[in-house]
Parts: sequence; structure tokens; C-alpha cells
Amino acid sequence: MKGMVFKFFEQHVAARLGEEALDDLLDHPGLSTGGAYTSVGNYPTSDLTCMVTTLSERTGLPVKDLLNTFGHDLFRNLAEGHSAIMAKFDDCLDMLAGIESVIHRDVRKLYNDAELPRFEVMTHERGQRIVLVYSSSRPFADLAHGLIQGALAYYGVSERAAVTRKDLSPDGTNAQFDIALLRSDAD
Amino acid sequence: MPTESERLRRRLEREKRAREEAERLLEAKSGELFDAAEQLRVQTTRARALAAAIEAASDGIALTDEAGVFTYMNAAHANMFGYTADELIGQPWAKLYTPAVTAMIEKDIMPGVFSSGGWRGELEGRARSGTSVAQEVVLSLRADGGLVCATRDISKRLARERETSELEARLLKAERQAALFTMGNAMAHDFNNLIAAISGYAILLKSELQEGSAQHQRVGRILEASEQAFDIVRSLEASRTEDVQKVSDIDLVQLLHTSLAITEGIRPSGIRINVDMPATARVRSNEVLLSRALVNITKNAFEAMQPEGTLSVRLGKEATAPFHGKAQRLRFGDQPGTPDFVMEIIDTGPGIPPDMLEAVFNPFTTTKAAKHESGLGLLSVKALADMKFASIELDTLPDAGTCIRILFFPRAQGLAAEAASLPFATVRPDGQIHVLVVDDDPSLGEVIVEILSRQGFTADLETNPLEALERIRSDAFHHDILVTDLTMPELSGDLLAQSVKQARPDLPVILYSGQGGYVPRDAIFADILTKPIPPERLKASIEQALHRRSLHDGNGP
Repeated sequence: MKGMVFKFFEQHVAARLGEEALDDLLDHPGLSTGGAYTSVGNYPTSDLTCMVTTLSERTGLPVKDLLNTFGHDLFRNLAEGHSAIMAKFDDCLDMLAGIESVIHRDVRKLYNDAELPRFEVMTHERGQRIVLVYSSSRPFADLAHGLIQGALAYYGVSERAAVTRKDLSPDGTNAQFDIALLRSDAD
Repeated sequence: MPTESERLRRRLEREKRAREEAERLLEAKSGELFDAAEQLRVQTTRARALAAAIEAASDGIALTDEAGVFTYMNAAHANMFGYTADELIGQPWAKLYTPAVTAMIEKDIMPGVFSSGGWRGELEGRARSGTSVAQEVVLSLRADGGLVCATRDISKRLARERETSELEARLLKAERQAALFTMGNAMAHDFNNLIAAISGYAILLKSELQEGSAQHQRVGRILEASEQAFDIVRSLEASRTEDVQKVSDIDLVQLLHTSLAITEGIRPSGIRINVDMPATARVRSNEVLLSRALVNITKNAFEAMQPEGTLSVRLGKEATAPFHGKAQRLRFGDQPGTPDFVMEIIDTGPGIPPDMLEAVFNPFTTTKAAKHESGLGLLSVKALADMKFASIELDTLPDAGTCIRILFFPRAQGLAAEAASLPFATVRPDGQIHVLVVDDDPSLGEVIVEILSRQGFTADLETNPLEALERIRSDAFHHDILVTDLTMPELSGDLLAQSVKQARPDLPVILYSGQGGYVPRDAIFADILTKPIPPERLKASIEQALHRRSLHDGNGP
């Protein structure tokens, strides 16, 4: 997994739980790097899973919620760091429809070894509805859910959006997201 | 619970490790970037070289997009159709074809290209000028739905194939004509002999019958019918002999170049040609026979040597020894003196087997594999010697090759024409003129003897030319003149005359022949007559020959 995700996770924990909680988390003996991550490196997914699980134990918050919240913040950080890519899309659903064809294509230009999840577009009714199927070798359907919610918030449409999630496997590697936007007053 | 300083220390250590890791990754990435840049440079150089090669290729190469519009085209492709590449890039491929061919391509070819990924075949394109372009085309489907088109202009190849085919047909026709010519000559000769015998006896019979009687009239009918039969044979001969008897000034160098150009289309690619000739070499000969002979010698040499070898064509004043004196030699048409020019055509083929050598100039004889045509070509070479246009030598050595040598001698003026202008001759004082008639056909020979006897000559018949020669040698001065047929199995009339002249140089020889083709034009003959011989013409010819001899001997009137 790209080191950039770990760095965003560190920022997320520090912002939400404080520097001390982050230090304690990075001191965990189960981490392969001893808690040292750089945004340009590649690290085992198990390190992130270890940190989320440890955090859940220490805070009493479910892993699902922690991943969901992290996904929400992660989208905002990614969007703010890659504004040129975001400028290619007209609206939120357009952006979600272009994850594979535009965003991941650009990511591979920068990181050709990136192991990216797939977001397959099943249905796309422009400006109204999109159905995506998430599939990955990693069990991060909750993270994906958080990312989608982060995207809706980034575009300011959270309040008129309905996200219906259907898990396609019990381990969190496959899930379907049906995102529908209600018409706004401006429409 | 760690103290604040302990926490800061650990954080510092993590940051330090992270920085070290980042530096290591940066270094590795920098190395990767350098390698990638180097690889890119190599690939760019290779791609540029490839692009230059494609641009300079003699074959046409073009790319189209999915819609069939040219996106790239090299100069060869564009030039093939009379355009520049810039004029065709951006245009649909259909611009290079007529609507009918375009429809055929779309209907019959493109579905196959899209299903199998490619197509190869021949198409007829249309150049800017409107002329057709015969092209060989290879189409390959690209992953993006576009096409790669490689093409070659095959107009010249098709034209060459047509020329070769036409040339082979012409050569075959010439060979057939030569065969018919030979057969026709033989038939004409035999028919003339028969008709001459019939008409000769009819003349004798008519003279014995009472003028105005029914028998006299019937014999007259026989003579009229005989004359018509002669006319038919003569008309057949005239068409065959006209071309091969004509003598003209010929530049051998030009004729050789023309013959080599004609046979270029059938020259196997593995055969090289070496030419050694002066700037010009003029002789007097028969162009039809000579050009036919050169083409056939060259063609035979190609077939003997294929798939590879060397054909040496040499023209000079003297003969060479291509096989260092080891070759077997066959010779036709000995002529006196020094040749003006010697032409040699030497191949590096397998040579001619010794047992085939004597028969190689005969019709329907070949030393080549059965799949090839029979060797009638060399008949036209021998005809050059038969007609005294040249002497022929054939040198051959097994596993080394064959040399056909044509020797051109200065041409003497025939005496026959000269004799026609002489005044009427006187005969010998005793009135007895002894004529030796030589003809292998007893019927015809006896008729001539009978006619001569009635004209007052003393005539003897000899049906075997070798025995006739022996009679002259043993009793050299018994006969005053020799009248001989040309074509005889034991010894031909011209060779008999040559031999007789050695024993009796002063003995006039009159040659007659029913063969219209290869009649020798030699100075040793006092006259040359063609069958049927009218009795008066024969008498006049004998008297003129004797008159000329008497002038030569100083016994003139």
C-alpha cells in the first residue's frame, strides 16, 4: 500500500485523537517499519490493519466506523492535493464514474506499481444516480464507503444524497454502492 | 506511561528512520529514472532509425485509423499513386481505388481483415493520372482498429511476365515453323522429283506422238497438270524461302544486344552474362536466320545451365579455346580464308554427351531434361552453314560447358548471276559433249539423260554420288560437264562439287534442286537450277557453262 495513505492516516489520527495517541499507535511492536512511514514508500497493508485494530481497541470505536471516518478525510486530502485531476469533472457523480477511466489512469502514470481497487460503473444516470461495484484484494469496503461519503461532502451534496450499500462478500473485499442524488432547489 | 521527553525521542527516531527511508527510495527512484531515460533514448533512436527505414523503403507503407483515413504514409506508397505523402494523409483509402474496386474491397476483403486480422493479395489501384496501378497488398489489423498497409507496385513484374510469356510463345512458334520448314523442304524435294519425272517422260512421249492426235493431246494434258503441280510447290516454297535467302548488311554487335534483350525475360536469376564485344562489327548475312540462331543458342544455354551459371558472349577476330583444347568439336560449313569475325557463345552447363553430339543439330533432338522443348533451335544455327552465311563450330566438354562458334567469312559473289549475262556459247568442235548426270532418283535421272540425249549431248547417269566422284577421279577428262542434284543421302551435290573440283578444277558443275530453302550460293557452281527444269533452260545452262570455260581456257570464239 502506498506510503501516502499511511501519512494521511497519521494526519487523520493526530487531528482526531491528538499527537500522543498517534505516538502510542506508531510505537506498536506489530508494525513492520517501527512506525516510520514516508509518502513515497510502499508498506504492507497489514500495518494499516494493525493500526486500525489497535486504535479500535484503545478507543472502543468499531473498526468499521474508524475506516469510514478515515475514508471521508482521505478523500478531502486527496482532492486538495490533486486539484488538477478534480478539475476534469463537472460534478460528484461524474467524478465517481471516472475513478477507473480517469483518476486511476492518472495515478498509474505517477505510481506504476500502485495496487488500486476497482470501481466498476454498473449504472450511471448523469446527475441523478450511479451504481458502483467496489472490488479489491484488501478488505476495505468500509474505507471505500467513507471515500464516497467524503466525495459527496467535497461536492456539497451530502444532504441530498442517498447511499445504499450492499456487501457482496463477508470479508469486505466486494461491495456495491448505489448513490442517488435528490433534485436540489437550484435544479 | 512514557514521559514527554521519551515520546519526543521516539518521534525523533521515527522521523529519522522515515527520512533515511525516503532518501533511500529517492536514490533508488533516481536510478530508475536514469535507466528509464537511457532506455527511452535507445528506443527513440531505434524508432527514428525504423521510421527513416520505412520512409526510405522501396515498398509502400501506410497506416489508417479506424475510419480508414490515412494517418501515415511513406514516400514510396504515395509516389506509387503519383501523390506526395502530405496530399494523402488525412484522406480515406478509397481515394486510391475506383468505386468498383472500393466496393469489392469493402464487401469481399474487409470482413476477412476484421475476422482474421489480415489479408494478402493483389489489387488494381488508381493513380492520380487515372492510370491503373497493379499492386501487391498486405493488410494487417491494428489493436486500435486501424490498418497497416504494405504495398508493392507489381506493374513491371506483370509486364515482364507477359513479355516472357509472349516471347516463349514466339519462340515456340518459331521452332514449330522451323520444324514445318524442314518437313516442307523434304516434301517439296520429293514431290518435285516425282513431278519432274512425270513431266520429263511426258515430254519425251509427246515428242514421239503425232501432233494433233488424241494421244498427243492427252499427254499435253499430263504436262499441263504437271506444270500446275510445280506451281503449287513453288508457291509453297516461295513463302518459306524469301526471308531466309535475303542477304543484308548486319551489325553483329547490335544484333547480339537485341538477342540478349529478347532473352532477358527468360534468364534465370542465377545466370550471369559476360559480354566482350567491339563497338561495331558489320558482316553480310541473313538477319532472320542469324537472329533466330542467336536467340535459340542463348535460350538453350539458359536451359542447360539453370539454375545458375555464366554465359560468355564474345565477338572478335579470332577464336578462343574456352576448354583449353580438351573439348570435342563438331564443325559445319568449311569456308576458305580468314574469317572477318568470330562470335562465341559459351555456357558453363553440363556439356553435350559424346553420343549425342552428332545428332544435336538434327530436328527433335535434345540433350535437356524431358520437360523442355526439343532442340529445334540448333537447326537454325546449322542453316547458317547450309546457306553459306557462316561456318559453325560446336566445342563441348562434359561438366565444363559448350561453346557455339559462328565464323563469318567475306562473301563471294555467286557466278550464276554472272553467267546469265554471257553471250551464247559454242560447243566443242567434234560436237560431242559428255555430260555426267548425278541423281539418286533413277526415274528423274533417266529423264534428264533422255532429254540431253535428244538435245545432242552424250549423257551418262550415276545414281550414287560417291561412285560418280570415283568415275571422275579415275577418268578425269571423260566428261565435259557435271549436272547434279543437291540432296542425296550418300553425299550432297555441293560437297560432290567441292570434291570434283579438287580432281577437275575446270569441270563446270550445274546444280539443280527441288528444295527451295537451303540452296547453297557457292561460286563453284556454273549455274543453279530449280526443278522442274525446262529442257531449253538446261541446254542453255550447259552451253553457257561450256562457253565460259572456253573463254577461261583461251579457246573463245
